[in-house]
Amino acid sequence: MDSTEIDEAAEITNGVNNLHGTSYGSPSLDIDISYVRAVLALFIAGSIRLRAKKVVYASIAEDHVTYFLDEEMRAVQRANRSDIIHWIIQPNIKRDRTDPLLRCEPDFVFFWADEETDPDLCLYAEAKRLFGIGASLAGKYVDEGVLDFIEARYG
Amino acid sequence: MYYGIPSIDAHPDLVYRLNAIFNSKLALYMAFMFSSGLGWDRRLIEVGDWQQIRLPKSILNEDAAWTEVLQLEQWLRENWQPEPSPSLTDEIFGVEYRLDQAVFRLYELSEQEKILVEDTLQYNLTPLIYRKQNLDTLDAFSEPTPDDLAAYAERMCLQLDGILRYNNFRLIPKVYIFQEASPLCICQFTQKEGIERGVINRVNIHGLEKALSLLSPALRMEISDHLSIQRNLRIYDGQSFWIIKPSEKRLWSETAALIDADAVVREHMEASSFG
Repeated sequence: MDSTEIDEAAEITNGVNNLHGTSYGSPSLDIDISYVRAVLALFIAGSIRLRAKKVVYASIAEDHVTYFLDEEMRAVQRANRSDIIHWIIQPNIKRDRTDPLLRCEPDFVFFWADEETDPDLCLYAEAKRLFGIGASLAGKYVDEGVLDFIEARYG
Repeated sequence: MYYGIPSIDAHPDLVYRLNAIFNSKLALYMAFMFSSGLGWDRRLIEVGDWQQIRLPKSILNEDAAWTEVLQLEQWLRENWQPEPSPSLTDEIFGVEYRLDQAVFRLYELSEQEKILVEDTLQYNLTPLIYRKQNLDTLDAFSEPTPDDLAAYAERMCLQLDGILRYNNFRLIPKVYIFQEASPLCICQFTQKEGIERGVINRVNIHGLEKALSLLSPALRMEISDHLSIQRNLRIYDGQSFWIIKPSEKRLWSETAALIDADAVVREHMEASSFG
């Protein structure tokens, strides 16, 4: 080995003592934006399967749509050759350490960290029923549902 | 080993179904995962361990999937021998393999779950049971072959391409093969746009073994007295990243690829605006 190679080996050796203790350099593959697209594709594929089953009807409870959609998305992923998207549904997240009653339950939480309990390392998604019995819920969804995200209630 | 269940003649079909499951790899996996002692302090599967084994939903159904399972179970029950002839040995291995695959289908395991079961038995349970032997003689601690590294690289690509393809990217894997013994093995993955699927490149390389010998001790980190961990190294450089780990088969299994793919995603997401 020449001196350059020895220096490089030493640099790598010293560089491993970062956050995870095992990586060196800046991760720069296009994984972040692709991840969001993969999640959206999963939602769409799950929704197509769910629509074909005709189990969602006008008066169905919103949570039940979430459960059905979750099942179909898992079926889609099981049929794929990659199961790298991890998610859970409706976790009970404590928003305030001082108030045990202050909690929220986002419909879908996609996580990539080892522990899904860190509310800052996730993607949240809500399944909303915009049309059903009575007036459209679209306005209420924007006024209240989207505000939950904007006001960082889930973070 | 093929074993049976002493029973009365009532419900023979159910007993044969249970026997098929209990003789499968999946049952051993569940016994290992649920038992507090199997593999650690005993080689015995206790009654309580057997009772914890989950049965498939179709256990009582007249399901066509059971036809094959019962045929394979019957063949093994009638033909299995402790010291078979070479030709019968091959046949027994073949039928045992088919029984395992048929039981996997009964439980509707995904491709990744099957890998997890097989690798756990090969690389976790077996070394535990034979841990009093010299570690170098165990398959889990032996040097991975180029085919092992290729299987690892392919699994890593399958996992990460499951995300990257939504941005029209794929990974091209490169497996490095050394002429001399090396304490570490290396796989490289490069992101490319607009390709269908990357072919695994096997690159013969000479002279890097010494550099890896220097790097290897630094990956070992003491976390307490008499307790240290062997870290795996991921190096990111532009559109590529390298995985560098000790030359042990257990660290280059397909399960290891699933775990490493998760780590790569985690580090990218934490480094991005999402993190």
